[in-house]
Amino acid sequence: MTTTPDRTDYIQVLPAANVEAALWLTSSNLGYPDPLLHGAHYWQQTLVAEERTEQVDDVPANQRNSGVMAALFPDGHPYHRPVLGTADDLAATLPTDSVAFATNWHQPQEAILVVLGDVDKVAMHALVERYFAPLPAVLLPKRPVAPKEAPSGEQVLRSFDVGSTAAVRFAWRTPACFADGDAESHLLAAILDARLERHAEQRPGVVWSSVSNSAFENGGVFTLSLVGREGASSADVQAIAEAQIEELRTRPPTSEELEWAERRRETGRLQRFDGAAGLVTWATALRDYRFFLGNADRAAWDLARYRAVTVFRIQTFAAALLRPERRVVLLVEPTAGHEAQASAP
Amino acid sequence: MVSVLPLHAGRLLTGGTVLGFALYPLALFASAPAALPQVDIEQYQLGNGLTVVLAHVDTPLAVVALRSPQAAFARRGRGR
Repeated sequence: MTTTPDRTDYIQVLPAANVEAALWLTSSNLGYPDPLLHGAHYWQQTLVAEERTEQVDDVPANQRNSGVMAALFPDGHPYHRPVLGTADDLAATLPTDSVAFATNWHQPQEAILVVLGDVDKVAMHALVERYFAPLPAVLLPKRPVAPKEAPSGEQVLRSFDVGSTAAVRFAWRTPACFADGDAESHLLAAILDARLERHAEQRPGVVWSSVSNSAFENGGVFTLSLVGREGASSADVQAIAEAQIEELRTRPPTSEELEWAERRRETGRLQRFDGAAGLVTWATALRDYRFFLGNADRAAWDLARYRAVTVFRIQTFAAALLRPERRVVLLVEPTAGHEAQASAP
Repeated sequence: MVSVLPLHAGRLLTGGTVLGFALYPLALFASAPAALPQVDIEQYQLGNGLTVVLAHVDTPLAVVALRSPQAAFARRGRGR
């Protein structure tokens, strides 16, 4: 099972001859969750609370992620709050809440079933019909619409962390998955990441850097992160980050950089389709194409959209995206002691 | 090319498609892309609205994946 801000996946990998067992279990999950939800609620509540402690409360970087997401996406947006909820959310959840969510949303109309492997399609039709067709369709509530407005003006978050290194993160909102500008966001991130890596020796104040873009159903996030060398302040590290953005303006992405980023993305995608884990990547890719594009058969289009990005488009996109007034700045200042806990965002 | 054929009430079958994945494993060294691998795909909806995607690949394994919405968009923030 994996969860993102948009969805939960229930995934089973097994010998192809045993696929019927997985369909039966999946059907039970989708159609008859009530006994599970009632019986396991408090056990699961404790488990998720512990998971949250391990993944968020005990990991300052992930705490800061929550702060950045909350700043980028205003209250009312589904990404404003962390996927695992707050500790108070979890503690207050009742079995009836789990049942209400399943009743309202964990329903056939909202679900996509993908079966991929050495399976006979005629036999699969019959099995899918047997296990899933009897599940009733229910009247779903109206789906909330995520607000599109982004906060205006630069937002600066400050955090104090026990340790000896300062860090800076810039974050901008980018287009949703597969939307116009999504391909440009990913390619620009790859180009900027490579520039930072290639010229690391010219930035001796930085020990680690990363540029990435994550795209979801209701928007994406473009992130530039730098960790400073011991002794550097967050102002020192921010100056390096600002210089990197400025360099992108004075020396925009070239055709060579764009071509490299496109090919890197394609080969990276190929690698992720390799082996048993690659089968899961395949299945989730088909699911995404079906969900976002209405057609699972869009892999070729997906690759082609990256090839269609021109130097002019990515330069224009970079100039429009990376503006100070659209960003969240996170400054992490090293500190020796107790003030860290009180000041984390 | 994808063809959408009406099969029977409540169901659409996208049939006979071959996922021609335009993959470029040699792209760093050559301009001609390789077309690997291929996946036969069928996709349709059951009468209850469940979307089904069936894909055949030559492997001894199978993946069964169910996508369901995340709770975030419906969460009311009880703890606040």
